[in-house]
Parts: sequence; C-alpha cells; structure tokens
Amino acid sequence: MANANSEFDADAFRTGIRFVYNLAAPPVAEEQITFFYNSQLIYNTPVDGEDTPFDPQATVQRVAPRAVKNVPCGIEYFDAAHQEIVFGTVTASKIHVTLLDEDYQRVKGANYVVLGGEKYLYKVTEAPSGLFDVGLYVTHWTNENDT
Amino acid sequence: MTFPGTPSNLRFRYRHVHATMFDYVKTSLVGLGWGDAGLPASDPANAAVNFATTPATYLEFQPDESGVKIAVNTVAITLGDEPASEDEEMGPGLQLVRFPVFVDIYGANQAISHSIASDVKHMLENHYQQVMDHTVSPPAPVDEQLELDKDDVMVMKPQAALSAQDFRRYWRVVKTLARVHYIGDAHV
Repeated sequence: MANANSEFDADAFRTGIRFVYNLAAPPVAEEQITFFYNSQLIYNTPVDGEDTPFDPQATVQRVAPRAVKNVPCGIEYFDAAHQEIVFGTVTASKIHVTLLDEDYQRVKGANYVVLGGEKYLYKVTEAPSGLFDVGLYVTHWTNENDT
Repeated sequence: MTFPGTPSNLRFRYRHVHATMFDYVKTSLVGLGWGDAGLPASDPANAAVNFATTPATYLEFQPDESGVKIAVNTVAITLGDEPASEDEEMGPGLQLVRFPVFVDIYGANQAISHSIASDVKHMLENHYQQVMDHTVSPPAPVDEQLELDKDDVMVMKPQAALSAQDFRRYWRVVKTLARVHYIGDAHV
C-alpha cells in the first residue's frame, strides 16, 4: 500500500482507536448507534423513474436489509436548539460519525442512523483521510425531526 | 390526427401522459445520437455520442427537487400543473386537457445545451401519438390522442442560470403544451 510504514502497526492502531470508541459509547445497548438501509420495494408491474408503479393494485415484495449495530465510531453532536433562525429555514441538529476504514465498509451506503432514539438522515461523507495505511471517514447526518 | 371514439377510463392520466412524453423524448434523443448514461459505455447507443460529449442522463423529475446531483448533459422531462379539462365541440363527451411540458437541459457547455434544445424543440413540433398505458409492459396505446403543436414550443434560459456555477449556467428549458383529447368518463 502506498502509505505503508514499516514502523507503524496498523492493526494495533485500529485496535486502540476502537477501544476508545467503545469506551465512549452509551452503556445502554438500545441507545447506541445503529445504521439502517432503506427497504427495497420490488413490484410485479411496471414502475416509473421513482420506482412507483402505475397500477394501484400492484403487489410489492419488501426486502428490508439487516440493520448494522455494534460499529465502533466517534460521534460529535451539533445542537441546533436555541438558535434564532428565519422562519421557513430549517436548521437541524447534526452528528458527525467518524469511522475507521474497515468499519466504514460495513456501513457504507446506509440511509439513516438511530442514536438515542433520534433518527438522523445521511447527508455526505467528507473526503477520506488517513494515517499511513489506515483510512478514516467522517460522515454527516442530519436529524429528521428538527425544524 | 384521429379524435378518440371510446372512453379509455385511464386512471392517473397525468402520470401516463408524463411517462408517454418521457419515453418519446428519451427514445428520440437516443436515436439522434445523444447516448444514454444509464447504459454501459460499450452499448451501441454510447458508441458515437454527438460531439463526443458525455452521454445524456434522462430523468422524470427535477434533479434539485429530489436531492439528486445534476450530472453533465442531464435532460429532465416533467409536467407542470394540470389545468381543468375543457369540453370540446366535436364529438359526444370529447374533452381536452393541456398539460404544460418542461424539458430541462443541463448541457456541458453553451453549444451542447443549444444543440440538445434544438433537437428537443424539433421533436416537439407537430407530433401526434396515442397516450400509452404504463400499467402493462411494454406500454400499450389507449384511445386518447396526444397532440404537440409547433405554436406552443419555445426554448428559454431560466433566470437562475445566470447566477449558477459550472455547467449549470448552460441550463436551457424547452416548454410546450401536451394537448390530450379523450372521451370523458361516464358519471352516474
């Protein structure tokens, strides 16, 4: 790998980072972050560009991908509360989730996460960075319910 | 053009007209050499794209309204608000509804945008076909006549394009009316 360094132990680094991430995770399992993927709807009739059928009686097969839990990650919370905003402007609470490369591959493509009972929608992934041959990914998520 | 003679009982007419217009514009543009980004690069449709530009991306919705990134050479075919139906003088129960049609073109540069818009304008002038029922595959014609008159077609540059960045400032819109003639549904 291009950035490999013989004196840098990538596995030990990952182990150490994951230890810190797990240390900072909520102790209640139900409050820990869970990554979800949108269900795939398969219709038995023709659909339009938004995958909506023309026949209102079309039958649908719903394929719900399994949610991903127990992913070590760092979470930063940005609260939009107590900020004056112009009426009609949406300023939602956000979280930034930092993942190691191997853990990012487990949750890549997730559509939303649930953390502490709150649902956050995926927005963007920053340009990747890293330390020698360990990649780091910072993903941005926006609270669905905040206005 | 032949006016309809029987009730088609077409439910969700707006969507079927939209899909009919989308299929017509997309098929025509692919046939005119603008390619299809939804097909592999090795597909014959993308073998010799006009001006060696990027194959076109065809959408049924406005990309910015659906949170979809706008790709170079995007062609979005949409309908505007559906107006009230009008009674026509010819034939019993014959009605007319005029759907606004918008073809938004985000070309790679000025020349490409104008070239695509020119092809779209030409194909929307004096075109007549039946509305297609998209509940079946392949879509089947129904007894409703879709009319595109040359007097309704125009090419515009949206105001928002003036302040847009990168290739989005080459945004052009082809506007027309899709006149749909149909036999009104019987109401008891």
